[in-house]
Amino acid sequence: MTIEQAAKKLRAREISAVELARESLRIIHEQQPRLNAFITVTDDLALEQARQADDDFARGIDRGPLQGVPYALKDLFRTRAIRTTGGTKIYADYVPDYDCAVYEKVRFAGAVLMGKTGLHELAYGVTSNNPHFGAIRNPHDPARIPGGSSGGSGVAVAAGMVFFAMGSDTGGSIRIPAAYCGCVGLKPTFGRVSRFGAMPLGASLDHMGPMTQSARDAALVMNAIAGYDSRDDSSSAEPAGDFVRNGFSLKNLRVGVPANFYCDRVVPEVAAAFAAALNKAEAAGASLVPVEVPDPAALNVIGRVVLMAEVSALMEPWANRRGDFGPDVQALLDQGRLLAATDYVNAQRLRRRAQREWAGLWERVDVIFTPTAPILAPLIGQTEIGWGDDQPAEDVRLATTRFVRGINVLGLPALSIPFNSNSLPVGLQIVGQPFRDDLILAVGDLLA
Amino acid sequence: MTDWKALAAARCPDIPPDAAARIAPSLEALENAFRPLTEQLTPEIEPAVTFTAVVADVRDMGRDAQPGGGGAGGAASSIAGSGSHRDGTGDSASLPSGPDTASSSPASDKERL
Repeated sequence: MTIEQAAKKLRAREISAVELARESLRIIHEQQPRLNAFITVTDDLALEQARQADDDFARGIDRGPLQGVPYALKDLFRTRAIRTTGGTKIYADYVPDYDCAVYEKVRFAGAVLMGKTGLHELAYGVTSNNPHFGAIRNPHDPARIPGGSSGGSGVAVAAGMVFFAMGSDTGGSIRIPAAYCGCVGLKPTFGRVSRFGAMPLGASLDHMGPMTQSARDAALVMNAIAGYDSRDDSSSAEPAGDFVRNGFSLKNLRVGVPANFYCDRVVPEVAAAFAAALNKAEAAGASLVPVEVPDPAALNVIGRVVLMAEVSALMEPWANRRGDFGPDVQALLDQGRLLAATDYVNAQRLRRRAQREWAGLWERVDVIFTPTAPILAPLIGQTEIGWGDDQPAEDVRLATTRFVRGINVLGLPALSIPFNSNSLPVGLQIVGQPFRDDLILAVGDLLA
Repeated sequence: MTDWKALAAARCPDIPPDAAARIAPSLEALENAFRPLTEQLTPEIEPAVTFTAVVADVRDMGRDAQPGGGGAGGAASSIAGSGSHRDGTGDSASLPSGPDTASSSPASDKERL
């Protein structure tokens, strides 16, 4: 059942918010031992918020389609009086005394919080194999990772525990788990959704966005959470508008199909699903436009320099707590501390240059399609993927982020939707120009 | 090219030599990919993150000056303050009047990526 379907049933009194919350809690507790999607389940609060939603319905108060709908927050969104760990031992007992902007807005919309989902430690990685709170497992094959860092949110949606979950995306952390788990994930345009009160990772790369069962549901969530917030220095005053587009057609849509980079080192299952997505778009009236994308490999390098410097600067006060971080995160923190300030500034200058180069693409195309990830969900503990005898093995983390990290450097909106695959889930990434989140959501709605 | 192990020993002596040895190949590969890119930079290109002068909000300044609280709570407040997500206090938790109200707030000179 989607948010839209649940909203109709709630208004028709076919089901109550309390009944929905109880069913959500039942599935969460049933699946938690197998999948470990949650760090904290807020049973009592969920029922309290559900009762409030039902009371509002009874009094004729309608806050929109999220009212009475169960959801979850990645455990880096601060929630007053509810533990917020960031997936790290450093904050294992941290209970904030204020709410983040996203929670404020979703609560105002009447949605019902089920709990806080697990993540890769500090949101600094893509496996969600968390050394402090346990490995999160892929619902399609529990021996595999769900992707990350918003792994728990992806699992919670894909396993039907909640109708939507909020994630954060600094180098693919919403889109990767969406692709590996088989749900929809939106990284909005930078500045579109307030980051106020969300634990930061890379200050100039962090994006907050929804994970849902459909692109239309993601649009409904965006209607509730998008907009200017003076408490977030990167927040955009660009009007948010309506993210739901009715009567949309792919006819005459110009779809950019990269002729470079995004076709290299892709497993056959992903290549086949991507080809099928292009065929479906073309059959629906879209024009496929081959494009040469300006040096995505360079974008990834720029993104890694920026991210490592920003995170290590942020975490410098905890440099003396080496034993409290997982080995992968500790290694990244160490690397960031050794980068030169000049390299960070030059990476930000290269970013500006890349932004200008990419701007020219939007004169020729409306959206760009790529696979979200070049591989299927790796096994838990897998560190490398082989590409045949004539090519070196690739680090699983680099392979997983290869097609998504650069989009954060550019701040562009990007949507991952599940596309037909006979094996594990495969994601199609739809990239748009700044503040055209509504367009990529509409395209995703028609293709999924 | 940079001698990463020597740099770690000199600049971050708390990084154990074996840990420095493990991360050195990654940094070397990153440097090999990054250094040629910087040669493309010309002087007029400014960083994508730039400082913007704004009129100070005295109330915000007062809030920033408040202690974040003890223990882990204080630590997390520091994190928020270090990043661009401004820290808040308990009284910032009131419900917004609605998404549309937030988006119609006055525009300021926000840097847009």
